[in-house]
Amino acid sequence: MLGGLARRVAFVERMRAEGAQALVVDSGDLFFDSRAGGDSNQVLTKARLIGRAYKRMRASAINVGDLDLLQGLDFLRKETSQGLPLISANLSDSSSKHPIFSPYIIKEISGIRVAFFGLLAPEFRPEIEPTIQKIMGAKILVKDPVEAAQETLQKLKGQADLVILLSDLGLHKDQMVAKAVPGIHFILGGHEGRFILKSHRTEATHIFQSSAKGMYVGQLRLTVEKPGSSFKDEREAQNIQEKINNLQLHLRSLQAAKGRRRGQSIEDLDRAVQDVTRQKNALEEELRRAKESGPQGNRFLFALVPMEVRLPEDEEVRKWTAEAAMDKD
Amino acid sequence: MELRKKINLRALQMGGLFIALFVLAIFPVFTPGAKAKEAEFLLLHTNNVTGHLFPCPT
Repeated sequence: MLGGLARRVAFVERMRAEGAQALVVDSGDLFFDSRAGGDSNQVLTKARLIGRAYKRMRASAINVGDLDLLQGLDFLRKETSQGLPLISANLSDSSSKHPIFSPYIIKEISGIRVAFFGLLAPEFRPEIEPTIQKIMGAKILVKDPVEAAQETLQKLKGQADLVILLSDLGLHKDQMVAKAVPGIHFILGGHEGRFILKSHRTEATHIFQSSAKGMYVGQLRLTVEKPGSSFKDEREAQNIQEKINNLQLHLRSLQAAKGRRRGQSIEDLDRAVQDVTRQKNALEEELRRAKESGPQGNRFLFALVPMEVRLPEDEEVRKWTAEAAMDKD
Repeated sequence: MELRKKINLRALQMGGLFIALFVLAIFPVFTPGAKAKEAEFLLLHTNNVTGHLFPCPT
């Protein structure tokens, strides 16, 4: 068993109490699951508790995901008016064409200006599409993510040292955005709830997701030496070494296969050996460079911290949950 | 005359000191091997919480 809202709040409080400079963010699909379109009393009570807990954690930015639209805009607007920092750079009012939420938020931490902007996918999941159509009708417009990202980056020019996309697009679209829009340092993604331990890198952008259902907290530790420049993984050398080890295993299995083919053609295996050897040599060169450059420049370390049930819970959030008569999801 | 010379010399020394202080103030001094100032912080991230309040079986 992993997760729990009160546990997550206690974890954040403990990190800060231990002296960590920490910003709390969410990439969307925070409040509701895909079945939340029906009887709204219980789901809204739960959603309000979550909003209250994220305010308690002093969340810096929360992207609006498609599932968050399942109870209409009134709930989200009310949460915003009560101090929850909801953002979206591509969700607009269809008549005025104005954004419904702030497209981005800039926070300063340790002297670094960090800009967060949010995007959601223009196509809603098939299972929620009818509900969203029923609730929203033609009131909302979801702009193309790449265009919205380009516009936002333009607006952010000179205002931020670090640009982070909180995305509810899914990994494939995240990679498209990263390729089309240079200047995004990190994409903290979602929509699919993937368990990602190593960053998916597209150009200079590193992409992560932090699983689902609050079972883990993604912890991205950033060390900034040159504001504005790109980041490298502190475990870069280790990751390259792992790839080399895998290729070595592959080479051994190819050699063994060659040995088994007595008297038969081994041209295909020879080509494969050459190909794998070429890849291995390239990685060895990359490893040498990574080791030479050492721990310098902007760098990051990402970890998924499991919210194990042995971890303490925040008493206040437990109290709110009990008062709301919530004892199961 | 001697006194005047002494006063002039003193004034020159003071002026030199002020100029040196001024130059130090406007131009940062680089020492060999000095490390750039680093900022370190955390981003704590969640996604797809989907309304969950309680732990989930993994």
